Amino acid sequence: MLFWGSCSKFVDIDPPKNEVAGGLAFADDQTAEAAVVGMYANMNSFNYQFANVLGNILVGMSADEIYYAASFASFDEFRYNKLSVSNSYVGMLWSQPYALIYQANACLEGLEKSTALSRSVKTTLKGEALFVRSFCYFYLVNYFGDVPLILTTDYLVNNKLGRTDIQTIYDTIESNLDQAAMLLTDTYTGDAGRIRPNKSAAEALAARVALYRKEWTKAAAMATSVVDDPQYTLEANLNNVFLTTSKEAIWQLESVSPGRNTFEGNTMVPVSTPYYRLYPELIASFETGDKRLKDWIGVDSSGTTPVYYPLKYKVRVSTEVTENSTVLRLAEQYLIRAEANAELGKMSAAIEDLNVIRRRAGIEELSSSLDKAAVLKQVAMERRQELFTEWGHRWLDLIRTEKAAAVLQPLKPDWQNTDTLYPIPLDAISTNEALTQNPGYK
Amino acid sequence: MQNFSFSPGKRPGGERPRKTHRILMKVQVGVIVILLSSLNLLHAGTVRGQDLRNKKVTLEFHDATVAAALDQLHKQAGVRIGYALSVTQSPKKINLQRATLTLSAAMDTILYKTGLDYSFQNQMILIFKKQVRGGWNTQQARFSSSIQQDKTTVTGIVTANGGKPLIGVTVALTSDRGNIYGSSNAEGRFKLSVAAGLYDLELSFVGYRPFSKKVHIADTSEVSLGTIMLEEGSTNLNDVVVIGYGVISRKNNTGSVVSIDSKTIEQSPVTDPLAALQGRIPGLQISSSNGFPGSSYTVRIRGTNSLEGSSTSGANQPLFVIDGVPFITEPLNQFTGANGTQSPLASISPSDIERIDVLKDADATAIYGSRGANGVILITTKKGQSGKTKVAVNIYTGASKVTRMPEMLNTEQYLALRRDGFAHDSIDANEQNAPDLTTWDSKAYTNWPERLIGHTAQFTEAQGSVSGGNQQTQFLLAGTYHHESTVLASPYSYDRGSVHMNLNHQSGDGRFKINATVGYTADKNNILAYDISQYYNLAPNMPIYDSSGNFYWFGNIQNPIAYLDRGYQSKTDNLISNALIQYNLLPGLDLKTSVGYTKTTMDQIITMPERTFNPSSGVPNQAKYGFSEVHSYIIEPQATYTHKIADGTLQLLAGGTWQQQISEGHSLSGTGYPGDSQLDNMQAASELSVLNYNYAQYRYTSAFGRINYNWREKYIINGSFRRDGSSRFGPNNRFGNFGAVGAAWLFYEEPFVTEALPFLSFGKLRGSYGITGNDRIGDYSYLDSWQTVSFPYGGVTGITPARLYNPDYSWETNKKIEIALELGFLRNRIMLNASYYRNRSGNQLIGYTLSPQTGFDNIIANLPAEVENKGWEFELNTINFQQKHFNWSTSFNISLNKNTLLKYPGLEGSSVQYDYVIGQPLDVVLGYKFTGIDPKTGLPQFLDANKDGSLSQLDDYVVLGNKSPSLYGGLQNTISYDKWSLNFLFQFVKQDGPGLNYGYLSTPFGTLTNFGEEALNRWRQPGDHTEIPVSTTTSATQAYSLFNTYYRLSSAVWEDASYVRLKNVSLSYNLSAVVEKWKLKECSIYFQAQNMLTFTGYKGFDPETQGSYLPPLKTYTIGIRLSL
Repeated sequence: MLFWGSCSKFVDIDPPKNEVAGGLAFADDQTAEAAVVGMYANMNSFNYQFANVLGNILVGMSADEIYYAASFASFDEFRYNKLSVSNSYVGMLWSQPYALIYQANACLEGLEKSTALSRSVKTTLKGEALFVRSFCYFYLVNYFGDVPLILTTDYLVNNKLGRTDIQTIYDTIESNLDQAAMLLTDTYTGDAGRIRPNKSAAEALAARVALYRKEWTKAAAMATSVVDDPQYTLEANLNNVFLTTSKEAIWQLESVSPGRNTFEGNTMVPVSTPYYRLYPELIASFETGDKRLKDWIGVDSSGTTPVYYPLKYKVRVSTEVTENSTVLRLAEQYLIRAEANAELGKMSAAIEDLNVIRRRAGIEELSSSLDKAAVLKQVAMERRQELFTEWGHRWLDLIRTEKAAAVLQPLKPDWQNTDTLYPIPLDAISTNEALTQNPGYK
Repeated sequence: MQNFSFSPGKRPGGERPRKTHRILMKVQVGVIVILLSSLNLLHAGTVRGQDLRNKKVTLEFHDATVAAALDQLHKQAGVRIGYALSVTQSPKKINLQRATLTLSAAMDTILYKTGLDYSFQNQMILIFKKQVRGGWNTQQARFSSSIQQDKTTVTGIVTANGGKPLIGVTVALTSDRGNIYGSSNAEGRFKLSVAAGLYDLELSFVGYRPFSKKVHIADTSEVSLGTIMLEEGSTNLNDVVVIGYGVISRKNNTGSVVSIDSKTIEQSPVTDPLAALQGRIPGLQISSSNGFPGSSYTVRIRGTNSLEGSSTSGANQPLFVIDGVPFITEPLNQFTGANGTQSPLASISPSDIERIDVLKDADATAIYGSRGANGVILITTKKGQSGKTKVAVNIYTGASKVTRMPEMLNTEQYLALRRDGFAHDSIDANEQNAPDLTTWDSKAYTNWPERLIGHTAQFTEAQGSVSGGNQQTQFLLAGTYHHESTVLASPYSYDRGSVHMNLNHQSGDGRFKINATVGYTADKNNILAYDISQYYNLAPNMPIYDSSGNFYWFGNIQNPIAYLDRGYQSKTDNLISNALIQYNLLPGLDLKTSVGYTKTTMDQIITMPERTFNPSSGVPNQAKYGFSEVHSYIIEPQATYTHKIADGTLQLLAGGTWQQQISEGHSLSGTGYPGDSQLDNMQAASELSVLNYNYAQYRYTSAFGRINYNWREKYIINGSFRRDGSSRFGPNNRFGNFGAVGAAWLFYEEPFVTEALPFLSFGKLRGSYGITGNDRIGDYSYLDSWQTVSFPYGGVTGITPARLYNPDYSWETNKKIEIALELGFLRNRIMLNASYYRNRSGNQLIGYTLSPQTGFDNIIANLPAEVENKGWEFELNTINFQQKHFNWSTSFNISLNKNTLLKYPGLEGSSVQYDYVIGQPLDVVLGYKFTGIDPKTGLPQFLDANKDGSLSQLDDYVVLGNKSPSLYGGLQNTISYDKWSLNFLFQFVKQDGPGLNYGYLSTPFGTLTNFGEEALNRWRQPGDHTEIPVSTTTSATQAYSLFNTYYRLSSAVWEDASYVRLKNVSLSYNLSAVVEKWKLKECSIYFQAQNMLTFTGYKGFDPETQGSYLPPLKTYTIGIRLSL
């Protein structure tokens, strides 16, 4: 017995040096912070992530915004709204947010259990984890509709969960964001810029969620809270909006991969011939003198017809980091408030917010006599011109305002109304009997 | 005192002399002794002992039992015979035609093969059981010599087959009275001094078959045994084979073990010892991954058992054990070089290896418990030999080239193919789409395969050793230096130096023994970062340099000559040390401890100067550095006990293991160097980042035991058990039990067999069943832990959940069953072994697919999937001629393995649903069935397997084949004539595999890459009947998309990759007679060749490596071997 006792002990080994044992991840403030920061690093350490190129560019391809000039089947499926269930990028748009959700859940559970953390660290980290989880669910429901609502780390349960109604998920997002806004502080953690979400980030995302849910009053109130915060101002020079020093940024993802700045810039800034091109319809929509056309869009005139490409991020490769991938910024909040106020019948407030954006773009202010329909139309236009190639705004806007069919059908011959939702990826649906496919896919 | 021989089954000599008397007194009480006496007793009593032996007696036996025969002898000769009652139970029947014999000859006849021996003592014959020789021979010899008065000098000469005297041969005369050892001198003469009596004469010498014979030493002053010729070779039933924690004679082995010795290994001019095994061992399939030095080998014993991992992962690798210490075969690479990963076994110099034993069935492998599932390969290194100090030198040098090259189109044929493509596509060639037709020189011709890998490599090795010692202490000191260059244009090379030391000592009384070995190897592999063989199909007129002498670049085509300027170096240092300490505590009881420590480090560097990148990519110069280390220790205390029970011998083994292994490594990547010359200098990098850091601790403990009972060398049963604990499993499942039972029946001495099959000189039927395990999964997979992410974020290094953890998974279990028949004919000149086995691996450890909504793709878990390997192995060894000056022997082996995935719950819908098919081998390859070229259009056509009118990957795939051979083996001939000796080995493999145009990298005929000569048979015009599709150049055409979507994944490009290879030739000439006057003992010159000829219908590079990897090399060497 003694022999076996000592043998059992012999095969007890120390945890690996390059890993932190589960129980120790929340044993002190530093590792707990590392666990939360790991989520942001996972979002942006590599290219083709849901939180960089996929969410910003590929989703834009589904709309009338950007396309890839060469033939590439997986991209073409986005461009022509003919997604197959085995499209690997659709798979990533599903699996990556869920991987982050797992990590957020693991952080929330770890923080909950831990008794060793200082109160302020625990509070902030919990707010950040709730924020990240809400952020991921926001995109999941907008890409895929009803999705499984996973709030724990128990894979045995999670592996079999079916879809949850979108409104239930939105309720969770809303209450989590409200809680996050209470837990987070106005100031940004650390001194590396606006790279970890703060209270305003939670409010900004809450404003967007309220807008999507047509909760106009809440949307306007949340947006106002951000707009009124003196630490945010619109950058007068459009070339400064996506810099690491941007005063307009509410939340950015830090550029961490060596030799690059943002993956967006690394991907879209052309070496010679631009491959990522903007739709001519978008270019044509800009009014004369719009600085956004001049400062945020590049043109290649070497061919017979000029080719336009996005140039919000200007650095393709550089060891010096000047740009960060911007997730939430102030201009969107003005546009959210404008739309909410218009829906609430407050036209002049709405028009004033639109004019803030237009003044910065160097174009004429709107007439104060526009009616609700005209204002809403102008909101859609400004959103399209201001937020292109950012986070699929155009695609999600067309869907939430139910204009997708009308706008996209003329451009995309195979358009079907079921294309507004992406298919549940094959490897998700084939491994979970409880999942059903979205209509229009097989 | 003389009574000590009366103790059957005991080992009187094992006691210390002082105590002997008392113990024997007790023993006498417990033994029934019958004294056959008669009235003649008084007469006999007057005869002197020496006369008694020579006394003539006339006898005749018909099916007499031993007891009856002795009784008759007693009556006829009037002599007292004393024996224990139990000896009469021998089942032997004695037949003797009426003859007149001396008493000793009569005794020899009666007791032959009964396990009994006799001695003449004080006018009587005493019969007792033969001793099992143990570790106290010296003491016994001393002890018995003290009581023997009259001595006889025994002389003789030992020679090799050709009559050459053999020096240092151990000569032993053994009997119950004691064992006398000696060794032969420079003339091969030996001289021993013994008391008269019956002895076993035993001669043994490395590389020769042991010789044994019963001799009767008469009571005269001198007896000459004449000239004894030792036969070269290794297949002898009395040879020992090495098994787990011990040795056993081939004859008495119940398990499936195949061995090869240093003699065979020395015949192969190879870098990695695994290469010397190819084709020689049934059930062992070895294929190299490429022809670069240090490349890894895929080693499978009886097929692939585990679902986990590709061919390169360790999950299906056998366990390698060197001198009792498990050897770490997982490569240490932080990143790959042209040779893929460096084979750790390349750090073992083949010249240091004494023998390799391959353990296959449950009986042989269950003692290795949780690690025996894939079989075990035991490597024993060379040991010191007693005798005169021997200095040996062996030097050889030679050259290598690749075995095979694909035949590619020349420039004219290639350009015609291209023009044809543009014509069929109806588009014009321009500078962008066809530089080969427009801007490049249409007369230029580069034979790319020749240019890249067609050069001649140098191959040199020098070995030296000193060995010697006396009966108590032996030593060996050996050193080897090995150098080889590569078949690339640039001066890359592989260098290895090794030192091997062994010290063997036993105490004066032979009870304490220690054997210690230290081996140290350092190698430096200077090769390429990438295998450039894959650029064999560049356009034959593509320029290498531009007009100003810089590398030429076009589009995204890599200029492979630029790759030659990228350096890759790996340096491996390997220390292996072990010691076996043994003490004989009590008669039959030995205590041992083996301890081992190994350490391997590997440093790597890749340098990529700026000029080796296409300038348009804007990539700056850069370098990568890798550092890895693994070290392990093992302690294995053991006890063995041997005891006679009834007519059999019982052997027991019990032991335990404590093992720890720690591996650690990191790699760095640097950019921004001031100049290309500074790439080796890490400090010169303006930015250095850590690519990887890895750390793993592995601990392993076990208790094991074995019980072996051998009843009259006829019925043998062997049981082994092991309980293992491994840190690779969660706390709930750390321990597992494994075991096996094996049995053998040596039926050739059964009377009914002897009668019915008189031509049979050996016959054994054996079988085994048992369970072994597999813990070859990564470390820590059960652990709930977080790992660091690649880059710090906001100054904080983040951590992320390492995995979904499962604390409950446990071993894969492998149930093995085997039945085998071993037969010998014509006095064992023909030996035939046939075995059938069936292994089933269940409880498969795999990454179990999860729905990605869990946050992870999979979790390590046990799946009740089952994989079966079953097959036949045959081995035939014949001695065709055996004469003084001419000897010829042949060995043939063939293995047939069938691998089947029996079940895989949940396969459908899982991420591996196109990788596996129930009822097919694990490495099945699926694809479209090519049905021919439409003679009207030149387009390839494919089978619509599900007849739904369209082709789709999901439903129209058929089985193309699989990646494992269905049959393999070898045929070896060994011929010696006078001073010449010749060995040659043919290796054969039946298999299929991917052709050159298979896979996603293949592009349609007519695109901007060259093709093999089969392209000449392409479809050119309507009405052509051919198997090669029409030429096309642009992705818009149907021909292009049919090729890309279907053709390159179809049966059209899946080929028969069977081959027969003249694997090894060794021709040597013995100059010993010539060099004698220079005081050299031995001298021979030789020629050796590896992979000399290959016969195959395979159209790519080499059927062994397949695909576009550097083929194995054919090597020719000449050498000289000397000793003094």
